[in-house]
Amino acid sequence: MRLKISSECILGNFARRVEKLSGQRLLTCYQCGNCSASCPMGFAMEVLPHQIVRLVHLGQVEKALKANTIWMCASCITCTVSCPRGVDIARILEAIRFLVLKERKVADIYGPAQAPEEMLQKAPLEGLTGIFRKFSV
Amino acid sequence: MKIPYYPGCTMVERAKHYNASGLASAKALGIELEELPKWTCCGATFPLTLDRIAGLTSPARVLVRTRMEKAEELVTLCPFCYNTLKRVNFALKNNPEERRRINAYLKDDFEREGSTYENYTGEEVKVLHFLEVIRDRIGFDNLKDHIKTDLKGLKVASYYGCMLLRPEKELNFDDTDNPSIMDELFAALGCEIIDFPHKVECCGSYISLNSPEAALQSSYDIILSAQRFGADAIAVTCSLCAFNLDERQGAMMEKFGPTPPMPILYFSQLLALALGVPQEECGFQLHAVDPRPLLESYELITAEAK
Repeated sequence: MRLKISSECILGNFARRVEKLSGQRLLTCYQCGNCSASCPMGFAMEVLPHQIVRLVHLGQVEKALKANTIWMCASCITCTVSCPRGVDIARILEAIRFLVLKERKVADIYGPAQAPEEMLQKAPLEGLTGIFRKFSV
Repeated sequence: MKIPYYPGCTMVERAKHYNASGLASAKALGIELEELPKWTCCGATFPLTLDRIAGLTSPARVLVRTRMEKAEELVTLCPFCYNTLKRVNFALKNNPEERRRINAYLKDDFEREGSTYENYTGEEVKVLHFLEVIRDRIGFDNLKDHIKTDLKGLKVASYYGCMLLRPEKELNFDDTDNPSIMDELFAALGCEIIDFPHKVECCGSYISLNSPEAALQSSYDIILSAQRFGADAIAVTCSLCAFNLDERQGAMMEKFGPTPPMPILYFSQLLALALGVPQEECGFQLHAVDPRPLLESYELITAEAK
């Protein structure tokens, strides 16, 4: 992947907002990749969780947000418990989701109207509440 | 032994058999789970960003309600409720600013309904899962005094999922990598324990709603793994795991080709069966993959009259 990096974009505005919202220091991550190795949804992600952290480090916000990663995250907290540096990755991904949802002009959000009828009829309510909350702020 | 019980939304709606078998088991063990009056939604997910006070207020309200009943403990069956309530306790205890704001909001709320309000600090009510109550109050060794039906070596793979275990630091439920609480329970009930590598892997959770194909893969891996290690059935604690593993098994067959059906049971259904709860109260008929042929083959239940 080719990236254009300058001193302005490293730990820029977006990274600072992610740090504030998640309560995590992004540079604590030393890119070992344990979070990505343990992620049960990693196989379905276009960019792995540790790579998302690196992209945000480097101010490559667009690349980080374009990937499906944050929407594939099930908040199962496996990444968080596998981090040898004690970084709560799940909180970082949630903070990024939050910032994306906040900026959205059109509510192209996953809500009851988007859920298949079969799911609405059969899925347990904590699942429905969970997914609707994940896609809303 | 009387403890307030917080059912949560799914238990009274789409996992009634989990609820009924759990309550029946508790009764057989002499534990009186008393439904918390005026309980409200816990919010289902713990808010992970630091500026979503509203997401903490809803579960905090449940804990304050429990304290108003003069209780120091609250029992759940649903792991989502357990996770959310317990993490909120941790957040309130460790974050003075969040504690201040939530108490200010709830004070207003409760005073409006005419109750006197005392500050809640996150320590007054201890959140317990029913499994912990059995382990710590009854003791797995003492279960034998209550067992009416030995489960005859039924090969059970305990699947723990996420919400009871992670984050370990806040939940302190069991070992995150190698939990054993359900295995110890089933060993006491006379089951053969199947240890399998996917017991703490996420089943895909609510991703099955917005990316069903991806979640299907995660769930299928779990079923396949349990099958390879020789399980007759998988035991779960969570109705979302049950949905992904049981209800979606038909979709797995369509996508990945046919495999032998794998019955998915709530731990409480097997416990209830062992404790002598009548089989029709266990809700075995409410599964997508019918567990009754398996249980009949072990002569644990009798074929029901048609």
